[in-house]
Amino acid sequence: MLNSVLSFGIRGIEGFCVRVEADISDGMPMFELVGYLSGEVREARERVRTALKNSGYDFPVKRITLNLSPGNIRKHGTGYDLPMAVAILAAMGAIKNDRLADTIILGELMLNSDVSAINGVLPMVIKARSMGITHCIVPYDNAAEGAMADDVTIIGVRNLKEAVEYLNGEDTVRTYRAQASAEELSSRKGECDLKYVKGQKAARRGLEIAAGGMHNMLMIGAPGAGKSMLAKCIPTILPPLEKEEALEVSSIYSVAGLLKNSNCLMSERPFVAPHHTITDVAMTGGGLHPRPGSISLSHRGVLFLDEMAEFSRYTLEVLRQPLEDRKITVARNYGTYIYPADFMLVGAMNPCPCGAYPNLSKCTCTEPQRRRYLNRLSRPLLDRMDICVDVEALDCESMMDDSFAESSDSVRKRVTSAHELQKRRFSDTGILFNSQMGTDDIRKYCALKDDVRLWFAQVLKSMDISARSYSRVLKVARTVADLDGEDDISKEHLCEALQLNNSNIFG
Amino acid sequence: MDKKYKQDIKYDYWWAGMERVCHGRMMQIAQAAGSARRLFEMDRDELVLIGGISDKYADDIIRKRSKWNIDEEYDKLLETGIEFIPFYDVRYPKRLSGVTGHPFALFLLGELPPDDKLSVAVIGTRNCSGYGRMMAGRFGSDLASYGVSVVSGMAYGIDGIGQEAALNAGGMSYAVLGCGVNRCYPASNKRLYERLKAQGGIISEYGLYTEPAASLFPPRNRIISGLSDAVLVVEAREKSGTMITVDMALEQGREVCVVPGRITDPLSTGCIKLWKQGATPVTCAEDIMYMLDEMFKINKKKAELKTVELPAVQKCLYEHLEPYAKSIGQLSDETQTEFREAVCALVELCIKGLACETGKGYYVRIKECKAV
Repeated sequence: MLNSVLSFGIRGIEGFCVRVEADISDGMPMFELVGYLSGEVREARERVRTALKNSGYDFPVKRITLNLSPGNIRKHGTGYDLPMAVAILAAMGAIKNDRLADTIILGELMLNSDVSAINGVLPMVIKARSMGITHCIVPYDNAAEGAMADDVTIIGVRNLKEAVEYLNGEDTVRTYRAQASAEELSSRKGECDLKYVKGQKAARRGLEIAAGGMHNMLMIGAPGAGKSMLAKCIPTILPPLEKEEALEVSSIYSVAGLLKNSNCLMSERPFVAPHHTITDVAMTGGGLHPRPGSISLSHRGVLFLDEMAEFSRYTLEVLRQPLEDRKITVARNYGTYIYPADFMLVGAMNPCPCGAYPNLSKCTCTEPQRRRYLNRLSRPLLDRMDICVDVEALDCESMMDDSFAESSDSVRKRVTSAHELQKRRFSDTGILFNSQMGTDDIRKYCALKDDVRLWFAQVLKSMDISARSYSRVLKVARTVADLDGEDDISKEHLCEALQLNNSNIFG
Repeated sequence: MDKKYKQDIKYDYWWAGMERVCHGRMMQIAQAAGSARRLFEMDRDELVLIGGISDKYADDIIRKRSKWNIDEEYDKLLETGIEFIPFYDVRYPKRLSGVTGHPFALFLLGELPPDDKLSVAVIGTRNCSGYGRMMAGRFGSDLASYGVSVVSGMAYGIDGIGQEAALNAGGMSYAVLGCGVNRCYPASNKRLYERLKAQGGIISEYGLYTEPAASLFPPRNRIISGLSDAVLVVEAREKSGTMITVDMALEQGREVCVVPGRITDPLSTGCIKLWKQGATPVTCAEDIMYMLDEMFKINKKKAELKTVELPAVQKCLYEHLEPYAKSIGQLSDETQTEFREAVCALVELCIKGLACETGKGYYVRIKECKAV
């Protein structure tokens, strides 16, 4: 007898529908799996057989063939165990067919027939919803995660028996509906906050402007000056993720198996800080069974590279394309995968190998040493860093000062209103922030008034500014003006943008 | 006679290329042997009889000369346009020939500092502070404007800055290298190197294609001081190559001047030490001129500081800027200016060429003006 059930797999961070077909016919007793399967999917044979036996069914002594269609897409992961078992039971006639048509089934089986959690439930459910499927059977531990998507009924099952009971129409199993509420979205853990950052006027201001236009930023400062702490504060001054963004980010984390709190969507913007020994593949995503890399895990959030000069040159150079395209395309043996990678790059480095420059009474580095150190960041990469700030080492007075500085929440208010301004401005252009403006956008939205224009022309001449720095300065000036809530870019805005430019980090 | 000279100079050229092997005893050996040509023709037994030639060294000479085609190599030199000036050449600088241990010969791109004009060596640390940068620039340009040749080593920091400033002021500057003259070291001073060829000269005692090596720099310092009437130390640590040049200068009887710095500044320890030992502290190029040139009229008016008109905030910040780097945060605290205002004012000061950002977010004053 032939029967089939629906399941889902993951390609990149998108789900794709897999039809699991089971056929039981007379012949030599055997259990065959086909459908371009990877090792862990083939191993399902033993898990499925034992799980069926341990939940009280007699495994048919017949010729059993399972096919996972479409047959031209590689399938990996352990989520196909449960649909395979259900397909066999359906082929045996142990399950009624009426609920199978609009239900997808996901889950890994244990030998005792318990169902255990899998990765990537959220994007699969989202995709299933878009295909018109209304019911999803998922592992009990993934039920809350699946329920983050609206308009789908999630059935969380603890074991094979519960799945069968549900499919046979017994309503003993609890179902879930979307429940992520507004409060959950805006809740924020208060570990990092700008109010704990003492002094650092320049860096604080740089941070605010960077966040205001989602500009990539480079922080230069002595070891221990607080670069990492400042970077960690960036998510706290960015507006929280909106519902759609949150779904997207949660999906990526779900695929990577990193969704920590499976009860609610990720509301805080991600902050990813890979160690400088990271490989280029870990950075971009990939591997035998491709999974999202650091740049995708920081999608809609912050990718923080501490000790940026210590990263291998190659690892840094691979960032260039995603910084432009806001996504990464990974080509591997079994297919080409696209991961979103719209992140804000924040780098931190020392001003010289010893870290004391420009305090020349402490700095022991020679000029060539310093240049060599700074040259580890390539010019093209530096060209993508709109903002460069100095993080000063704290003096004792500020260290001993126990008063609080301006808190993240109050900075966030300004940043949020700047973001809203930009959203309105770019509503029909396909971009979101000032940092993403192209040449045409700059001409259109960064037009200078005549007197400012004249002044700026003189400045460009005297400061020997390249064409690239020129557009960078304009983009940042636009953000500064947005933070001030002003329509026109003034001299003061340009001055601040010029100061934040990185073209003279060599001093 | 002329023909013989032409032939001999080829042997001298060969001998000059041996510098790396015999470390400053070239003159001695050549004199003991009679001429470079004799050295080329002697057999091994004769060579080892000459004082200063060891067995190993004799082998080196024989190996080197066996591969050397006297005529061909000299023609190659002529093609490069690099001049070869042995010690007996009339063009050989008078100042230098009076020095004990003067080089056997010089290689030259461009010109040599004229004997009848004053020449001052501006030297100092490679890793200089904003203050050193400013002083090297000021002295380099002021000396050049008095028609003084500025001699230095074309290194990073003080050397290069002083020379560049002299060239910018329209003066002449001469670099003595610790490598072959056709090798630009440090490579990042390529622009200066090219300019010096046209507006001064590149000098070295080492043969073409000699790579820079640590051991070559101390000996070249004696040429720097030898070519100068006075040595000006702008910024130097207590232990440094600069101090070697100063020692050479004292041996050669040159004047030594220092630019005073703060006594707590590690980069000024060298200058302060020299000062204590009797070097002349100078605060402007006129001080040096007065010391060197009897004819220099001191009643020539000292150049007055230029006045610039600045808005209140800029003026306040300009007055708080120093040759030592200060951060924006510090400056805005000191002047009690709002941070954003301070940023704007500093950028404007940079645009006006009065200040400069030396490290990210750190500013120094680069031009002395009277702000009104």
